[in-house]
Amino acid sequence: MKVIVCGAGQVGTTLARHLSSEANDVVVIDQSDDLIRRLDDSLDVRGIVGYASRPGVLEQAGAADADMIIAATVSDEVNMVACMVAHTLFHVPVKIARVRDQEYAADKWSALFGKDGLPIDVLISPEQEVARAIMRRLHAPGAIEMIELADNAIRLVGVRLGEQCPIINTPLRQLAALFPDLNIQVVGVVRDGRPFVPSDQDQLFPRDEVYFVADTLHVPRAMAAVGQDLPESHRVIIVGGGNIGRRLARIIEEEDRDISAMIIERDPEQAKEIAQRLARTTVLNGDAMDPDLLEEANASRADTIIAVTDHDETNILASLLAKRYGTKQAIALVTRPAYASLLQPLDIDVIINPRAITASTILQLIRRGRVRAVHSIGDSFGEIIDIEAMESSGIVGKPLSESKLPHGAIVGAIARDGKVIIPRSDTVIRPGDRVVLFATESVIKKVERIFAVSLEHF
Amino acid sequence: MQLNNIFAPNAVITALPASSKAQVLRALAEAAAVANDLDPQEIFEILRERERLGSTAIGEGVAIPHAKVPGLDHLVGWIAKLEQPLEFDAIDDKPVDLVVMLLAPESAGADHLRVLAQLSRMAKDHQRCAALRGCSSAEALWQTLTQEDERRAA
Repeated sequence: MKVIVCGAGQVGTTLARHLSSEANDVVVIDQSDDLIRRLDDSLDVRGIVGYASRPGVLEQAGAADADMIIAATVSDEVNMVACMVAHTLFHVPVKIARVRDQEYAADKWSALFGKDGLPIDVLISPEQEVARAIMRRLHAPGAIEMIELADNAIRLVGVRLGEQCPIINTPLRQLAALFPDLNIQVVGVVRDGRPFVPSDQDQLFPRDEVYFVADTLHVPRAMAAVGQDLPESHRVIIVGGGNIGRRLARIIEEEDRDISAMIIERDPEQAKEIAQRLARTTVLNGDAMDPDLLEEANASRADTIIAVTDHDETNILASLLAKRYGTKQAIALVTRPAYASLLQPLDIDVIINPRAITASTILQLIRRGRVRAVHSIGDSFGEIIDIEAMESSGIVGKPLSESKLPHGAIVGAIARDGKVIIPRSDTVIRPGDRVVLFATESVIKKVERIFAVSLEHF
Repeated sequence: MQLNNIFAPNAVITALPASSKAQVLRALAEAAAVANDLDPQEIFEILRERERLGSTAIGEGVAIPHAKVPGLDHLVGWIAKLEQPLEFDAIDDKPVDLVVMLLAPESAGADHLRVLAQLSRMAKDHQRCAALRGCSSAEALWQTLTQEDERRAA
C-alpha cells in the first residue's frame, strides 16, 4: 500500500515508522529540511520538503497512485486542506486528518465531515486518545491495560501478577476447573521482557505481565481472581499541563464527579491559563520534583499520579518520587521504547505509550476484513483485533482447532447475539460473530487471509 | 450464460496505464459508469470495500474484481490488460496484469455467481490466459474472451 504522511512530528514519524515496518510504500512531507533529513536517515521512507497542502507537493509525493493520506501536521487547517486537495485532484481513496481543535469535531457541526462536507474519512486526535486511554486505566486500578471491544461486550485486560496471585503456577488448561467462575482467555504473556502467546500447558508466574480477554461483566471478578481488585481513584495529581494534561482534567471535570484532580505545571504563564480554563481542578505552579510542592499537593494522600509532560525522564522521576511520598498508583507517559524495558523493575504501575495508541486508529484502516477495532499491545508484541466473521471465510463453520490459525494467533472471545463466548478448541465460529483475537505481528497477514472471504463473495 | 451478452465489444481495454490497484479499480469503475450512466465514485467504493474483505486476485496474474451496484439492471463485464503488472494482494503474491471486472444488479439472483465461476475457470486456464495476453487489439481481445467461450459451450 502506498501512503503519504504529512508532517514529520511525533505523530507523523510514529505512523511512518509503523507503516514502513509493514512493507508499505511511505512518503513523508514536511516543511522542515532538518526533520526530513533525520527521517531519511532512520527510516525506510521517502522524504519530501514542502508545504503539505500544495497540489504540486502532493503530486511530487505521488498522490495520484496513493492509497491513503494521513495529514498529521501541527496545523488542523493544513491537514484538512491537504485531504481536500488529495481527494479533489488526486482521488486518494482514504483520507485521515489529525484535528486537535475539538470544535471542528463537535456534534453540533457534524455535517462538516458529512457526505457533502470535507472529504475526510477519519479524524484522529492523538492527545484526546491518550487522555481517554488514561481515563480507562483510572477506572481499572490494578490494570496495566484495559481496552473495550465488541461494543464493550468484551474487554482486553493487562495485569502484572503479584507474588500472592491465586492463579500462578497452574497450567492454563486447569484454570477453568480450579476457578469455575473465572471465565477468561489468556492471550499473551510478557515474562522478563519476552512476549509470547501461551499454550494451555503454560503456567503463569509472579511478575508476569498477563493479557487476558473476558466478558466485560466478569472483569471485576477476574480482577479479584488475579489479585488486582484495588479501589478506584478519587484524588489524582496530573503532572504537566500540556495538551494531554488539560484534556484529562477536562474529561474528569465533565464526566467524573467522583474524582478531584490537581495539575502541577512548571511554566507560570501556562499554569495561569489552565487555571482560568478549568473550573474544578486545582492548578499548582512549580516543579513536580520539588518536595515542598509535593507536600503542598498532598501527594501522601493521593490515589494516583499521572505524569504526562513532554519529557519521559520527568514523567518517570515524578512518578517515582510521588510514590515515595505515598501516592498509591503511578501512571507515566513514556514515549521512548528503549525505556520500557528499564522501567519493569521500577515502581511505576502503568506506562502509557502514546505511539501505540496513535498507531491503533490507523491500523484499523489498514487491516483487511470487516475490522471494527485494532489495538497494538506491548512494544511490537502484537495486536488485539476486533473483527466480524464473514460468511465464506476460512474461519467460520468448523471447530477452531481445524481453522488453521497460525501459531502466535489466538481467539480470545466471541460476541454472538448479546452473549460472550470464551472459545474452546471445539467452538465453531458463525457468520456474523464478532471475534476478538490476538495475533503477534509476524502472523497478522496469515490471520487476515483466514478471515478473508472467498472469491464468490459479492 | 454467454459472455458476449455481458461484455460489450467496447468494454475492453488493451493497455490500461495504472500504477496501483486503486487506480485500476477507479479506471474500470469510471469506464463502466460512463457506459451505464452510473456514479463512478460509488462503484469504486464498493469494489474497494470488496477487495478489503478479501482480494479477488486469484493467482497467476489474474484478478476478478466484482460488486453489486445499485441502479444497475443487468450484468456488466469489462476486461483490461494492464500496461505493467501490479501488486494486487494476490493469493500467490504474484503481480496482476489481467483484470476482469464483473458488476451485477443489487437484486441479482444466481446468474452473477455462475458467470463469476465461469470467469474464474477461465482464469485458471493457462492457454486461454496466454491467448488473452497475446491480443494486441481491442477487437481480438473481445473475440478471444467471448468466442472461445461459445465454442466450448457448443
